[in-house]
Amino acid sequence: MSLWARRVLYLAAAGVLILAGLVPIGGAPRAVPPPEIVFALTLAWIARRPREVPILSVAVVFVLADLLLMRPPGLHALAVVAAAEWLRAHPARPGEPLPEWGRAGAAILVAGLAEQAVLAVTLAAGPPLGPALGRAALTAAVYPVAALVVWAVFGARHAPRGESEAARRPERPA
Amino acid sequence: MASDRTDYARPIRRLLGAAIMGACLLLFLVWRIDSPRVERLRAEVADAVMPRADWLLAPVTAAAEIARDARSYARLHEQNQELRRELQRMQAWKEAALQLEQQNARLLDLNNVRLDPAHTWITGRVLADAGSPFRQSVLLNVGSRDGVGDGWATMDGIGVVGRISGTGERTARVILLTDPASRMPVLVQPSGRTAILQGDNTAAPLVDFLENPDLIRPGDRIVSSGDGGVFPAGLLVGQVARGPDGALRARLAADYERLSFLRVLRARPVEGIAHPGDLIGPPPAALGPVAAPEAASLPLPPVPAIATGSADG
Repeated sequence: MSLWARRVLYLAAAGVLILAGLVPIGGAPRAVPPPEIVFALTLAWIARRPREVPILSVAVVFVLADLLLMRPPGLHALAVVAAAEWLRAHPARPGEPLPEWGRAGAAILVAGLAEQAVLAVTLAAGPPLGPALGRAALTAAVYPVAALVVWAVFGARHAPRGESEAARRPERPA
Repeated sequence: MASDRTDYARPIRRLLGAAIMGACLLLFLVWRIDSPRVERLRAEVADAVMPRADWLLAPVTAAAEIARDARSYARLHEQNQELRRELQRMQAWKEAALQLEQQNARLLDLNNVRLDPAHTWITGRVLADAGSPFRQSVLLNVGSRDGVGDGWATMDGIGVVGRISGTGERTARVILLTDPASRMPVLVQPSGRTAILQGDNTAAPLVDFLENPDLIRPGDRIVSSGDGGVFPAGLLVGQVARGPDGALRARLAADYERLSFLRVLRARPVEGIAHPGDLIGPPPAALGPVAAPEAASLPLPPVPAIATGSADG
């Protein structure tokens, strides 16, 4: 599949995941909020094929999600884009799943904390601190599952070691 | 990718990243400063996306419903017994209700009461959930095109569900009573105490701002009080229940597990009293058009369905 087709695949996958969360099967609010799978999926995809998930895709997906999911618009998108860019700049080496999980988990947790801090500073009404951080922790916890799905279903694998530097980091100075 | 591209690709990427993050931050700040405008944008985005995504949501909804039905088949026998028992109890209630209805009709007739003709409604289908675990709202497939306005009360046929907050051309968002941002003035029925129903993202909203909580017992009926002019008075909300934490909460009458068709009650514009002089008598200059209110009340839009929703008010 060409690079552009893979980019569209990411956008479609994220869109379906967001819309699936909107299905009105209702039910009472739960005590433990479910993890945010799109976030984990995005980071896992970036860890494998950064060029298939350009920053613009991430921004578009998460700004739209913010608007559709009644979140403070732009804030979560900003946090996700920042986390994604940080992971892009500090990639884990392929074949080392635990450090990769650690980095992604840290990025998710820091993004969650930063969001809460901004909401507190701007006196905006946001989700309560405990469940919001619980959600971030849960998202970090499901990262391996998201990575597995990205690897098995969407076929985004780490580039082999030899060509990885050239293929994955074209922007790094030689 | 030629390697000479890397020379300038990196700063450009940096710049793009900074620009995108700046745009996100700007959007958030604009929302913080001028929330109504951004909320309109939000309504328009939902309006553009959701009706088109309907075909995509349909199979997922169907699958979820099948799963729920399958779970309910598993306890079919149990449910059957339960229903039988309930039916027996309901027979007794039905008898009582019929008698009361006749009595009520007689009394209304005696008093020559006209039930509020302003309660007409538009029925909409639920398109989508809030999708976020921290907000409780649903999106309806009726919007400003159908005349739906902000702040109108929404019911599911039994009890109040929430109110409209944000309308698009073809969609309208209903903030449910369970949403953390939802506040609703209510009346607790036998004692006639007013309270505020305060959503807190649990299934049972808090009954707050009670003057004397000792007068309220679990099982008391909660109806809308009509204070503030947002909700019409006398709509059924639910029952008082004591939560596990000892706080008074409302067990909502509306079936929040299955919100599929909702009724949006047309709200009359609230008549405000502008200055106290009008209470005593119109100023001489206004004596001329005194006949006008009568004329103005005539062209009420001829609406086919006249609700009797305020019968218990």
